[in-house]
Amino acid sequence: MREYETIYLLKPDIPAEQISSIKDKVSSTIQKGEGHILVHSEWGKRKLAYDVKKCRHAYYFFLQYLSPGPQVAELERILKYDDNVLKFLTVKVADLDDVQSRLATPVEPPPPPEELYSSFAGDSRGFGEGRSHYDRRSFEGPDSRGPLEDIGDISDIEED
Amino acid sequence: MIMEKRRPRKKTFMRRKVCRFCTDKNFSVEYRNPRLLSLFITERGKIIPRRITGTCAFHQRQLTTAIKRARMLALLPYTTIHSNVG
Repeated sequence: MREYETIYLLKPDIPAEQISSIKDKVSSTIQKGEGHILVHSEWGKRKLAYDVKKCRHAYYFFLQYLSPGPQVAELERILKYDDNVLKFLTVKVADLDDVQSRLATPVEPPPPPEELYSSFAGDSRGFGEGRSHYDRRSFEGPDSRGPLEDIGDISDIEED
Repeated sequence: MIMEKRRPRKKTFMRRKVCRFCTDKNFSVEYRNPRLLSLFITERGKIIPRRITGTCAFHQRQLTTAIKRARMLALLPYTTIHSNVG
């Protein structure tokens, strides 16, 4: 038994019932294989850093679970063959010997990460900024990058 | 004395760089945190070498995998320059 995290991205324009059916399918796959779901949370519709299959936004879902290895392959197979899934990534968090003690410790769902791309308009067609889907201003702003003074001069990189 | 023989070096300000992840214990490398990772990439999206940022080798290794994972999930860009945009 191991602990895994999977993040999967769904297309932005699919109806709500289809989203929940995919969620159920993912949950049932883990439970069928004697796995335990710790967290299955939604991060909502977010702007992507780059277009994926012509989509600029996606629904992010975060799943944290305990499962034997083969069941993870099965889950990834299901995600791979679903056309509404844009992307997914599974990360192994830990090898577990004692499953019960892990289940006994409460798990808090991690908060969704801050959006880097502040020009989110809430609508997949709400972008009128030409082709620059990557909003540089919001990225480079003094507030968004925080204290950066120690990093020094980035122009050094091209030297050597 | 050996010290006196040394040529006076050019006056440069060398601030001692310390690994940010070592100094702050509750500050861990996490691929799900693009805001944090964005401090360690350039505008173009390249990973900044640790001689610039001062990150220690251990955390730089974690950082590179984290940035690459974040890129896969479209949390961070692979690049911001696209040739057809010009």
